[in-house]
Amino acid sequence: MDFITEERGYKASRFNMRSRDKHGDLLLLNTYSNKFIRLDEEDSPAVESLLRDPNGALHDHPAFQELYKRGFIVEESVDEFKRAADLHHRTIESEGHLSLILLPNEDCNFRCKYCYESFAKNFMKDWVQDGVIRFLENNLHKYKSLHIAWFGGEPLTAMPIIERLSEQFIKLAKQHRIPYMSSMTTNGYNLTPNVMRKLLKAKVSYFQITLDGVGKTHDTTRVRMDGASTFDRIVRNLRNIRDEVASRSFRILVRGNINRAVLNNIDEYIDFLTEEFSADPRFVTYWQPVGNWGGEEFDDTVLCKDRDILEPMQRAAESGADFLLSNEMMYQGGSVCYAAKRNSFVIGSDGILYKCTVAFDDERNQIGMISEDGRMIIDEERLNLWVTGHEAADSGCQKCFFRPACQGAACPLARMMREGESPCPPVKTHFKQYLQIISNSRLVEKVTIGKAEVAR
Amino acid sequence: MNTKEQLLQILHDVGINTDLDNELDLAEQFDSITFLSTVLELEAVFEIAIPDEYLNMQFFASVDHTVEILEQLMQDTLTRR
Repeated sequence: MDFITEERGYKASRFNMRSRDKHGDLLLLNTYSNKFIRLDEEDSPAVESLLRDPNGALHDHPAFQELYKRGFIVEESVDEFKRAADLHHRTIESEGHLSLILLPNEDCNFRCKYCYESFAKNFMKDWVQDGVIRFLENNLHKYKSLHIAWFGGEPLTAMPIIERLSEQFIKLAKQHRIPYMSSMTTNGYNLTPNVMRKLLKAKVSYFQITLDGVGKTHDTTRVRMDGASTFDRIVRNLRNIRDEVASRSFRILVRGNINRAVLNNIDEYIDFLTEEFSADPRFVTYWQPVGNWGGEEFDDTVLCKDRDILEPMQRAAESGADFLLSNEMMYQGGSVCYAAKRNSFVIGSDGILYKCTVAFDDERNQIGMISEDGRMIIDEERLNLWVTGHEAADSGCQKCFFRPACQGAACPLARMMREGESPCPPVKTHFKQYLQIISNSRLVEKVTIGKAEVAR
Repeated sequence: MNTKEQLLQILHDVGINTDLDNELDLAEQFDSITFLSTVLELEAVFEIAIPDEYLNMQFFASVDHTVEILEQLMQDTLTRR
């Protein structure tokens, strides 16, 4: 039987996002096909006309061909709702990829003013470590890849645990012939070049380190347990890694939690990021406005809104700061929270299984235990709170242009807390500004369509 | 083991099939996780740093191509020491 029929018509994809940069160039991104293109201002009327009425265009015209092959135009017969639903199913089921977030030490050498953690526990118990290894011995054959994320507390206060477990994980991944990768969220205080080299051997290649602006703001929020400042040492570590570690295969995400004080000194922060990191593609930047994350020493007057940081982000991007993550968050599954995925678990130092690294004290987040003999004993009802619903239970999400990227699952915790309200990520809410911010992204493709008339 | 044998072992360990009718199919088997995992293992085993220009799927265009680059990078590393 021949399933190929002549196509009767075309339509613009419902997953297109459109904006312009400050020069008037047209920016187009499709959240399903993961394509991001820039078109000259003079080409944009023809392209916009084509997107309004693809059937009124010459289908052999370069503009039509360029948009069609990148998924900005699709066949009329394509059911994009079904495509998105299928993508959601595959994303939540994690397609055989296992991701474990481990807390090798729940205590921290810092006491950040806004931190939500209680520091009531410390190093991961030996029996928990053994339980994780046994779980993988018994179950890794079911998976296509293994990702371990080190979190805390502060993971770099527990290097012996990280090295011991990494050696076992790498060995097990090789035995099962699956790729292994690892990431770490660290305050960077202990991340010297020598530690970095050890971590690269342990296959840790993606790091998130927070700098809250320059020294005078960072050192008011991110202080050591004894109250001492931390900025100079973290920056010294980052500079040394930049200059002394030869590997090009790691990425360091320099996260800025932007509060009012940081915002008031943002030009200095932009200059600092530009000078230190913009010439090195291993360093990328991400900014998060400070919200109330539940820390006991929280002061509401420091709060920032998403819109407060957009204009400074634009200036930072124009100065060379690389907001690559914001670009990646606009692609398939890029804004789906790990907690929404069935094969993603957080394992605490005492063996408690969680879904989310924000709400450790919330009972809904405590979904089970790992046992010493490597069994995960899971409360399915609690697990389902995190891995079901999402876009399937939200008619607004189903119609949204951003659906392939976030799938209504940007923050399952926020959806629970706000009783069903859609937790739209800032990259969606402010997509026009974000497209401008990432318009010089390494992922953007310059497309030229030629001068020929596009209409039939 | 020589460079090629070591490379074949590393590729085997991440699930890459190197017994191919068309060796151009080698790169097709990599996704981003497999790519990164393999690159880190190559850097650790051969004590090299793979430069930015090779950090794309073309690095694995064929086994012989990858071996050639690895040997050149090892030579460069020795020269710098």
